[in-house]
Amino acid sequence: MSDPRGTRRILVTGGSGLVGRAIQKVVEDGARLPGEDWVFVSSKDADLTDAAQTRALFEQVQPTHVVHLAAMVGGLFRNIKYNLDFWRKNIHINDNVLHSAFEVGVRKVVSCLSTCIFPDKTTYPIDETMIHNGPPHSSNFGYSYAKRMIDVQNRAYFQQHGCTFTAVIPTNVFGPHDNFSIEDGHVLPGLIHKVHLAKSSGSALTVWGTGRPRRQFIYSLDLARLFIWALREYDEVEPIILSAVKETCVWFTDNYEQARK
Amino acid sequence: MSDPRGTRRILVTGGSGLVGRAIQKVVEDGARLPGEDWVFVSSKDADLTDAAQTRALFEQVQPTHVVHLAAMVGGLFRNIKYNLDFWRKNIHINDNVLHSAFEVGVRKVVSCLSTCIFPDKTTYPIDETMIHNGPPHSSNFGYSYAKRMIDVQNRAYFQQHGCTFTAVIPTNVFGPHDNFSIEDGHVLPGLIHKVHLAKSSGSALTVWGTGRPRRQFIYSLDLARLFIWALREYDEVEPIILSVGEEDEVSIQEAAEAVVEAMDFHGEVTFDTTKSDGQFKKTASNAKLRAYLPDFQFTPFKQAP
Repeated sequence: MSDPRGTRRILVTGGSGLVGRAIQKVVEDGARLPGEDWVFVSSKDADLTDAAQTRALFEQVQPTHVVHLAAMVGGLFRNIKYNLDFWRKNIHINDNVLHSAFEVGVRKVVSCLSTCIFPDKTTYPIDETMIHNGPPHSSNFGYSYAKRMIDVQNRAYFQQHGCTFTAVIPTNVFGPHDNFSIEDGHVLPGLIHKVHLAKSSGSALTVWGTGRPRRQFIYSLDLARLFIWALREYDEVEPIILSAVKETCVWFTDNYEQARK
Repeated sequence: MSDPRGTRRILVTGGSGLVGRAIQKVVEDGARLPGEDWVFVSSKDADLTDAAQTRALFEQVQPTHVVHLAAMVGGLFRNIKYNLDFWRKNIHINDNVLHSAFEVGVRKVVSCLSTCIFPDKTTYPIDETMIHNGPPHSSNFGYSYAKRMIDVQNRAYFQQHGCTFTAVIPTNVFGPHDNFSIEDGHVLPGLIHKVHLAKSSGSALTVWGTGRPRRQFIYSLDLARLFIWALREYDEVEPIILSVGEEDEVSIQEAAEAVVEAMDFHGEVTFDTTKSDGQFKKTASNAKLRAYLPDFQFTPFKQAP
């Protein structure tokens, strides 16, 4: 399955987001190989919920490879209220990107799933074969099913056309250029923002929830290196989980200063 | 949730198909209520994989209710080869229909799922709560997931906007105006066609597979009556299985024998076990239906053709 080391043009959708910026940094800091041309796009370049705009982007860029990160995302509380929008927008984005990639002859697509999409009732640890083994948590079922369907669509492209469209499944990501909004962002940047506000105003830090749920956090630059590895070396259609090994709050505290930068 | 008995305009997509024609017949034979205007459309009227065409159709018809039957369908052997197309086309059709319905203010949509979309590894009988409890059979995963996502989308429209978009889940349907193609059609019309050919040419009847898989068959006119009931009376967003009881399940071999007997075929019957069987069983529970309609009479299997 290895193609000759000629020119590769890698299109990264969602290029201005947390993971996209991390990949950009890692590529610029020396990860780029000779012959690789990396193109990072965001919603300014095309509205990926629109099929025609997506197709036009692919025709213009003519990628050989795609890292597909673009999605409608949000924190828990926004997901709960807008399941339809999270479902529809993401289904449209993913269908437009995958099908445009297919039509212009892209050799490989690596999309981005999430461990939050796994079945709610399950045994632990979760592995890649378990994605579809039951309904996801009801709070964000729209987003979760839309992400799961990337895997279904990947397998369908492979079954019918032999395409190598695959996906990685990161655990909770954190890093520079995250969404620090308390309403919409994820847990770590939300906490950082809240602590900042609490320090400035001399008030208490209020954490939403009981504090007991557990998460595996992965630093965005580490994830970026793994994405690049997957793009170059991971040729299975079945997805692969990308996660830190240790799952503790102690690990987070150790890395807090690095995360804060 | 009951709206005043004023004018209702019911749009039926997939109106020229097996189930659509059955609903048409039942409506014409007296099931239509005063104030109900039934509009049956097919692919001639609009390409539902196209968002703009679908929206134009809904703007033009201005339905208050929708029975959504349109889909890309096929028998086992075509599904196996074209999972991508079955996935994409059906996702597009369903999204276009549901969203156009939402945008023009349709009060209720009843879509059509299928028992073939249930999890492959499961306990029996299957019931409505089990749809998403595991992957579907791999042979037609594209079609199955697309159908399952109707239920996801229904729940999302309800959660975000309070819409009453729901679905019914029929077991294997058969009846007049079916697809009798041996390649693409389903099992009963395929058998009928094969027996016809075998009689004409004096050859044996070859049934694909072992004959052992079991199915619950529902006659299309019975299903049509249940669809109309669901449209008028079933207000849950959770889907409901429409099926004969578990006790009326038959094997493919028994189905073949019934067709042979009905068509007075006296030749040899063989089974080509090199051909795939598909799912072995899909036994569905009609307990929920029976709770709503304890007295509904199904046309007996041998009588229907």
